[in-house]
Amino acid sequence: MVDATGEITVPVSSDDVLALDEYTAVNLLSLGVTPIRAVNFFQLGEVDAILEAEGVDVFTGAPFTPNLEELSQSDAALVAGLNFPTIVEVRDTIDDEIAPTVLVDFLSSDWRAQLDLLASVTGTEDRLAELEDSVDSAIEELRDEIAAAGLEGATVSYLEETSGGISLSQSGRLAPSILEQVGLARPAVEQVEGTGVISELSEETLGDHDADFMIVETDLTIEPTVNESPLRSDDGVKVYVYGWSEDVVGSFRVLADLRRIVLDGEEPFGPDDQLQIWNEFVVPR
Amino acid sequence: MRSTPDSSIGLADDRDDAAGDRDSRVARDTFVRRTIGAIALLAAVGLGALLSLAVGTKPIAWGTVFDALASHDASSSDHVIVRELRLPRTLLGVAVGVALGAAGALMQGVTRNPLAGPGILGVNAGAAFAVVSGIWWLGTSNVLVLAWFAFAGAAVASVVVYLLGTAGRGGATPVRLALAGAALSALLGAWTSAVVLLDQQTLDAFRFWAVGSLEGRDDDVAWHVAPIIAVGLLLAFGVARQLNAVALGDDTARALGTRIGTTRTMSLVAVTLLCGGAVAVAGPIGFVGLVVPHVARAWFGPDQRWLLPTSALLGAALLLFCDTLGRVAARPSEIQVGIMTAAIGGPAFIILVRRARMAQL
Amino acid sequence: MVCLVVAAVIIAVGMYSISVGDAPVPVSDVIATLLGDPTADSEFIVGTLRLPRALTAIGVGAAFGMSGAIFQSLARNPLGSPDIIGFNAGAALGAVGTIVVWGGSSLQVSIGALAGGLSTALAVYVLAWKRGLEASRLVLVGIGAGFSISAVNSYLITRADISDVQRATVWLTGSLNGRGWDEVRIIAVALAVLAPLAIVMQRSLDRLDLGDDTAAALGVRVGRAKLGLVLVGVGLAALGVAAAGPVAFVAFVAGPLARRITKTPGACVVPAAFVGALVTVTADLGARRVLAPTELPVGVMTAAVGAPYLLWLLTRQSRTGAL
Repeated sequence: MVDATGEITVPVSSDDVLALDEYTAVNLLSLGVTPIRAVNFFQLGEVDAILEAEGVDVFTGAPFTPNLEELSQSDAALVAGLNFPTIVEVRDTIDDEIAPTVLVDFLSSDWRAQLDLLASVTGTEDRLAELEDSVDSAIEELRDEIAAAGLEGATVSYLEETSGGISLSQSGRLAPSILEQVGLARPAVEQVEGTGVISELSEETLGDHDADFMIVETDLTIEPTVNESPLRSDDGVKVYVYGWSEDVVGSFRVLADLRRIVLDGEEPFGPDDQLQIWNEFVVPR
Repeated sequence: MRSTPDSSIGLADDRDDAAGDRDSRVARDTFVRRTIGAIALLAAVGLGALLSLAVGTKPIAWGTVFDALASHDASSSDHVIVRELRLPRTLLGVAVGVALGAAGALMQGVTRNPLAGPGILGVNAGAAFAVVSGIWWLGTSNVLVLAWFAFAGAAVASVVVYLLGTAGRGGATPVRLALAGAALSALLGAWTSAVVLLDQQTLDAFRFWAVGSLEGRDDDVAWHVAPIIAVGLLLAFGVARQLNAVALGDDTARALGTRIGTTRTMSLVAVTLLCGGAVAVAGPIGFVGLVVPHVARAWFGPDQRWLLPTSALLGAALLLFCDTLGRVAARPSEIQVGIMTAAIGGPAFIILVRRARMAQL
Repeated sequence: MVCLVVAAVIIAVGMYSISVGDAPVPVSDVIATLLGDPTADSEFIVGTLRLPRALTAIGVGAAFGMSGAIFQSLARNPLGSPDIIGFNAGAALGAVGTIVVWGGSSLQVSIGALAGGLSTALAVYVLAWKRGLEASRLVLVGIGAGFSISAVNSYLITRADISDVQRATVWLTGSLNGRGWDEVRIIAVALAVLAPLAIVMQRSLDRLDLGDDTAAALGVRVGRAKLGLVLVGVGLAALGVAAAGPVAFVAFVAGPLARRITKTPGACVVPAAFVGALVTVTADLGARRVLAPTELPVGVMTAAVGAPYLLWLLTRQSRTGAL
């Protein structure tokens, strides 16, 4: 089979899997596989609650550095991770000394492809099919309800605010593509092809981003100010959202938040609700 | 270098008369040259301010800009942009540029070292460490809160450097101040690295502050820092004349009756206020304070009474032009002013160094 | 004589460092592995992970120590370093650029750093050359170049993904994490070629210390000697940076410390090498264990120890300001 580093041969195993980073661990958990150990690699704190709730043994060392001493102590049958540069350069060592290793493409924003690879090495293709159906039907359901409410074609502005300022996600990314699939439109200036992010947008251009619903994704490191700017129109619903990540948990979250914002006129989920989304939508029943 | 002809000492001698004539001619030429330069600088600052108001990421017609300033219409987003975004930013740019330029001239005068920038007192490193600690401890990126942290850090650092520089025998010689500043900067830099490497989110917030930017600073911060910079400027101009004497060397200065200790102390207080205020608002912008005095000195000469105000004006002009450029160079994104000043100023400085004879102190 | 004592301490610290860690290996096993008789556990941990790291630490410390001693002596200023010609700034840009733009591996980052540093030093030299090389112009051009490069660096760091920024920040602090036999080879080659040169040039360095005219009278070809010393100093620093990034303070404290220990004036290039090695290997031990299991980059430890030392030195200075 082929992974992010090329041809590999790994045994199919869903027991004794070692996760080289916390996002791979969450991906494995969503497929119903509990890793014997997970490395807290990126240390951004985004999925800590989920890992703790699922009782995964997490090891926190220096960020972005695979601690080979520590890893060699574990009895793994399969090692799964991302093709982050510092992992790629020790991949062969891990493969030789610890267990056969599969690396998923780190830069891909297509969570289905990522899970596909992991599903085939853990023999959980059925579970993946369930998840994908779940997401697809949730999208369809939301689209129908939006059309029924006469809100098809309503404009939604989607921006992000971080400590680095205002950013714009291009149309190929997760949230914009879901917006499109449920029948909502972004303002003209936001319809940019690609899967990247345009950062450091000037506040002066905020006036071009007026819409029926103005959604700003932010995180807990800052007090968001974009929706309070004098250049934001006052007609339209202005909300802040959290945790719209580019994976299956993020997909469910986007859909749940959109339902609340567009259909129910309620506040979206808060920053601490990631675990609730996980339990409600992702955990295998 | 004498700036006025001292004809009261002249004897009734032909040669002295000729020398006196030559001196007064040189002095007159110098005065004319400096005055022209000063007027040009004032015009540059004015032009910079005008451009900063009229040019930005969103194209706004000149007529609209003037309307916005003269008769503000709150419902027009263009007017809001000019009045509430660009105007405070322009004023801030002037304040920070003036502070950094003057502080740089002061530092180079006090340390008699053309490589001195305001950062040499450890001011920038102190502010950075304080800001990183603030971000980590409070988990905040609030500009006003961090500004106070930055100022406190800058002040503490310069006090420590000053104490270290004066500890032991010999007093605060320029070399010891420079060494103390470099050592403290290095230590604080290491601690800052340690903090950001232990916490990702702190690193994420800090890396933007560390670049130096005028964006997103609202009125509150400006009002808090303006008096600090004003006091610093007053102190600086007050001590300019003594600095001229100090530049001649400690012994000569003493012989001329200058109180070296007091001069140095007041200069360092002024630098701390100016630099601390600037870094508190805009983050560390290293280039302006170090290079602007060199350029000013090349045209206006080393007399601090001319050098200080012209460095200040040049700093303001540079900052305004670079900030404006940063708003249009990468539409619709902005490039921070700290990056633009170094990116443009660096090569410009190199060209200048190659062409002109950069006068030593 | 003193050098032998320091060497013994280095070996002791090194052995201890190799034996401790999350998976402790008894010192007897360490010795056994070194002598070619490894146990199953120790072969990987000692042979692949810790031994090359310790060797890199020693080699890098020696290289930086010698480089620092040379530059401090040449500049007759304890702040002398290859920094002035913009080398560090260029190396930083090369490394950060490789990490952010190409997502490179450690080896590619090292190559990028080396390329960036050397080309910047060369560019500064060329730009400062105008009918001759004037010292003040060189310094000023170096400052201008340093700022321009730092602007590009800042741009990259604010536009990059946080994980790339983290990697770049770690590199910029100087880190021995993950250093393997590749890095040992780099630094071994550097030392094998440049260290003997430095030792041979030590005599010219001592004579230059007495002043250019005195040195010329003693038969030193001043211009050529200085150029040669600069090249050797830059070469050592460059390869040290390629192996471990710009580890702070080693170059700075090794010379003065060596002078104090051996109680001789002058550059003390060889003792500086030993002192530098000891400082680095000890700092690495501290960096690995102080906050275990989190590892700090070694540059943080060297600065945490080196800077207070410098501040202490300052309070004991003589009137002339000499260290």
